[in-house]
Amino acid sequence: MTDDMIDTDDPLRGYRPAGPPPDLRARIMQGVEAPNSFNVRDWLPALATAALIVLFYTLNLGIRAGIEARLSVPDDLKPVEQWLAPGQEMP
Amino acid sequence: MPRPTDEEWIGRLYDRHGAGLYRYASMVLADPTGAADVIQIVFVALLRRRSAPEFDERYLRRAVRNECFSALRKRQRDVLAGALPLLEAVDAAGDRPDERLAIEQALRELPPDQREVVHLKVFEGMTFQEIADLTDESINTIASRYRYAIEKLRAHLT
Repeated sequence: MTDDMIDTDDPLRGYRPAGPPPDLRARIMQGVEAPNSFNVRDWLPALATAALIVLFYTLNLGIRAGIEARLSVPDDLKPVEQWLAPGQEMP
Repeated sequence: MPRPTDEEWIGRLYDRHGAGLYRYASMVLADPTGAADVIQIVFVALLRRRSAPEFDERYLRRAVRNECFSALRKRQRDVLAGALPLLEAVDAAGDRPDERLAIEQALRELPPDQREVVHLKVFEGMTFQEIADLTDESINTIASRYRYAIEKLRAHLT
């Protein structure tokens, strides 16, 4: 079907859709400015997540340091052979 | 040439396309207040995609169309029609408010997809083929929608 096949003498002749309200542009510009401004509330979830990561990392470091301290061999520990009496064999 | 700020960029885009897109949204929704909300949502959302090379009218119209039909799906209640006029007389001196309000009422009673076709055909002068391309429908579907809409408008107004 082509455009020619339809009578375009419609009842809307003489009218057109009304234009936008005068304040719409200003409303849009306000919406554009808002994302650029820093708002703590917007960033709260991200800040809380970052704080938790730092907390767990610090705790992990402390626990790891404690475990390593318990498992490490002191530097001044004598070799086993030095604990034996002269001439004594290892059991 | 320095890159325009976000405000300058959106402002220019609105000045070029805003009024036409608003009229289109207003007719699809039959709700000027809702149309203003749609235009605001679409333009502010453009900022997130500013890195795209260019936003042509076709892209913007599709964005507005998607937002309009999304708003229609979400709409739970009838809009408060009448707060803002849907139509205006081309020649302000010849405005007959009774006739205009009757046409507005008739338009509001059309389904949104028929209003959309009427708007694009009558007010924007698009061909059925162009409307079919925009809406991803067949040309016969578009022509039928237009014919049904005009018949309903005539029946309502006689």
